[in-house]
Amino acid sequence: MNVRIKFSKYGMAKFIGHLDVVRYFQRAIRRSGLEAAYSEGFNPHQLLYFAAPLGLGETSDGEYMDAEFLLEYPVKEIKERLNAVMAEGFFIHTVTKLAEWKPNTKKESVMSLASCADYMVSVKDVDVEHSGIVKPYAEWLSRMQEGIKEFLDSDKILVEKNTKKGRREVDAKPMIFAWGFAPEDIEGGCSGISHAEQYKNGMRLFLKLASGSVENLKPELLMEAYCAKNHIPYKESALQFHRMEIYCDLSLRNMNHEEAREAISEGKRRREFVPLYHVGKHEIEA
Amino acid sequence: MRKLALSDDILLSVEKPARYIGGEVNSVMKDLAEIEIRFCMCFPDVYEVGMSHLGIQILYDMFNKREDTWCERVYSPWMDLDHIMRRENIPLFALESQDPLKNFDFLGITLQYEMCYTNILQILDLAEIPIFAKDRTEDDPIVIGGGPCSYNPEPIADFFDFFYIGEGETVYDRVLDAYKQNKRNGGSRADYLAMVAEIEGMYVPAFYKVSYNTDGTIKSFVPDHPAAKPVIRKQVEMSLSDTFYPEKPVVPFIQAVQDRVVLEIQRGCIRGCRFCQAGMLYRPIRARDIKFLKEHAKKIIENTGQDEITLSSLSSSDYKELPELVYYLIREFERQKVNISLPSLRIDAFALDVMGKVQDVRKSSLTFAPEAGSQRMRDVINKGLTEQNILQGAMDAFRSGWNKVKLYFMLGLPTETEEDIEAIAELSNRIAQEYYSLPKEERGGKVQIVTSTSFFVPKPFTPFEWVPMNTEEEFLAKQKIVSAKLKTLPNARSIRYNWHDADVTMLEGIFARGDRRLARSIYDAYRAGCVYDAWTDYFKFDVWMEVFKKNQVDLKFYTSREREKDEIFPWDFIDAGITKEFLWREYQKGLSETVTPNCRKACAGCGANVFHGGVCYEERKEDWQ
Repeated sequence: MNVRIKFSKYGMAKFIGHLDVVRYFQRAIRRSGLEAAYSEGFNPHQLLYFAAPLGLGETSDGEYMDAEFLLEYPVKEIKERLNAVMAEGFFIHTVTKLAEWKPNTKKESVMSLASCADYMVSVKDVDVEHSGIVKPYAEWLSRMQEGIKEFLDSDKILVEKNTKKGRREVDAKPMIFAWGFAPEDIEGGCSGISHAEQYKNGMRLFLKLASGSVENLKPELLMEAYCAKNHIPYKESALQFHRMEIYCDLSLRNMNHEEAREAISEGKRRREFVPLYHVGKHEIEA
Repeated sequence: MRKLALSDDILLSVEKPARYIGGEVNSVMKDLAEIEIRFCMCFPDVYEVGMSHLGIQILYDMFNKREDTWCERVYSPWMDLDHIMRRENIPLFALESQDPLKNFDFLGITLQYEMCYTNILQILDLAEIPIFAKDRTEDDPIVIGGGPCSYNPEPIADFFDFFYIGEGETVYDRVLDAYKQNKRNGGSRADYLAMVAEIEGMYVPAFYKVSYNTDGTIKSFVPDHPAAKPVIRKQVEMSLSDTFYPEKPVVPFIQAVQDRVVLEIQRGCIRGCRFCQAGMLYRPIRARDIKFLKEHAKKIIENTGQDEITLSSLSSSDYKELPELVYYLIREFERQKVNISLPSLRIDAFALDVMGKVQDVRKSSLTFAPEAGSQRMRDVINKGLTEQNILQGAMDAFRSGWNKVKLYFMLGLPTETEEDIEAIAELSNRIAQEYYSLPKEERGGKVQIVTSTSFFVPKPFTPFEWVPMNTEEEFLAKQKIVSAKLKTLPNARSIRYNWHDADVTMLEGIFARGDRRLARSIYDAYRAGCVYDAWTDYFKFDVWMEVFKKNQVDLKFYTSREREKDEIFPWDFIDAGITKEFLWREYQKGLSETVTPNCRKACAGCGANVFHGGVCYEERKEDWQ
């Protein structure tokens, strides 16, 4: 059976890099006693597919991976057995059974489905004793609300992106789907922060951004550009990036990469965002 | 949620921050209100190396089984964090609680290789524990050393409160109980060490006095305290199937060097290779019961989810029920795709069958450790492998599809001649030649041979403990002979030659048979910036040489000096079972190129029978190969 697993990565687990998270889950599944499917060959590995790697230092309540098991289990049992073997910093939210794939059709990868993600950016309470970054960020904090508003409301938001051809400036504006200072300001924003770290200063920014293979905007780039514009030295470790959810844009779902690119550039996408766990559920009900 | 000792800012600025966060699967958390003893186990090298070590996992499990004790772990901070901790005055902390080490009752440091000595000082220094034991106060943790290098603890004796000589399973309970008792009695640190000195196997260096002859050799080595014993008997766990073995070893988040479950099938070795310290120290050979191993293998895989299990021992082929165990593991773990790895396996029909089942023949390579190139030399070192064995094994493997071979040799063995050295190249060439004697259709492409040489370091408690080590110049000249000879041979292009660094070997040689007078130099070298000496990028040979010069240490005294039969060695106060008479006898037999049969064939009278068990009390078998 194929399942889509939604999980949180939080607390000290944010210091574990993506490849180690993959290894961690392979072991967790073996500890759970669930019979996983393996690849062929002399170095067989579990068939696990992740939607989008999370950067080192970032937390999330909306991570996704697809897994394949040899036996049929009730999804509730899979969730319980996995949660029973999780280390601190990992939690399984939902397990969705995916539809069987018709033979001779291309398997829909969870990575290709992703096209949008919600983020919460918090300003950390920086330790006055141990940090040289306190002053500029305290200053920044005091005028963050107005500064961010001005920055995100402008017609064009230039960010520097690393591409295959080197660093180049792109306009981030079309890749910002919604933003606000309260979770309600972005659709679906009220869920997805259950394991996020809380800071006393309370300064948070919520962002709904393009996040997929065709267009992708990392919240770090946006914050970096904001800092650059406001002459604040950018320090990534002073901010906590938390992913809340990953969505599929149903209007792009059945398109290949080129078609999706065209639809986006011609403004034909409809932004029918559905959380990834729902995409699988939808399928099984159909 | 646990609070980490390091800020996000620091953790995100260092390499692999997961080295410092703890919280791994199966790591143990306890409530401080419910325990009496805080113990921190330390492997003085980087996390990925330290987490690969079985010994710490055994002791960690054993200590944490005690309700009154919480055992945690610490490893050497990598140099990036080292700099930050010094700059920011952050004391070194244990992984589990993230509390400073200086708050602990004990710091237990495992001594796996000589090149970690400066890392011990780094740990103490960063932990804000006085480096010299004599400077520690009632508030400082008791610092214990253990592991292979504690069989000659003298070069680092000044840094430790005491050493646990031998296997940890036996008397640690008494060591910890004594601590509690002393605390209840309101006793001091000195009182406690006096209690420890009464326990068999415990060596408190401060309780001994060493005097020297004018030539620098030891004149006397005697107890200087009423509690200290003149001879320290090594600790041996004689019932390996009825003792501590972790069923839930800690699983690191990041990839360890040995990223697999380790199943120790036996301790000790019957082979008696004369250069091998482990083979002599861990006598007598004691096997774990196959039932114990099968059960543990299953439980450990269940509890860790690891995808590989390795059988550990000095010579796996000497485990009598090896085929039964291996075929069981292959069957048992087939569905979960757990890979089985078998180092130290003699290449025979069974080995080839198993390896064919568990590895990709085309990608994996075959390993032989002839240790010496010529039969004469192998007789000197008592390495029972013949050229016939090697060629036959290689040929069988070639026929089964292998075409990669790794060969391990040593340079600088006693009585070595130019012919012996050239024989290394010749043997490598012979193996390639054998490969090409196969008809073309039976060959899988070109043969690839990797020949590696290391330099021989004479070690305490071996028959070669008297032997002069080669000088650096001699080593390098010998390595050149191998290189030059290889070039003249027809299959040179199939053979890649690697050699070990001679500088590091010299330092190893100094410490292996060193004495107390070296502590000052280790301290000075550390202060001059030496740390992570086992890592080529950090090893500062020049600094070491300057420090030795400044302290007037005559390196040749420790390395290339021929020792007299009756010389008092710094490690002679340790009774490891094997007697000095036996070692001398073996040395003389080696010089006369006489082979000593393995323990299963005939008893060589080494003295290890004082431990009342193991192979010493089994029936001998004339035909044990």
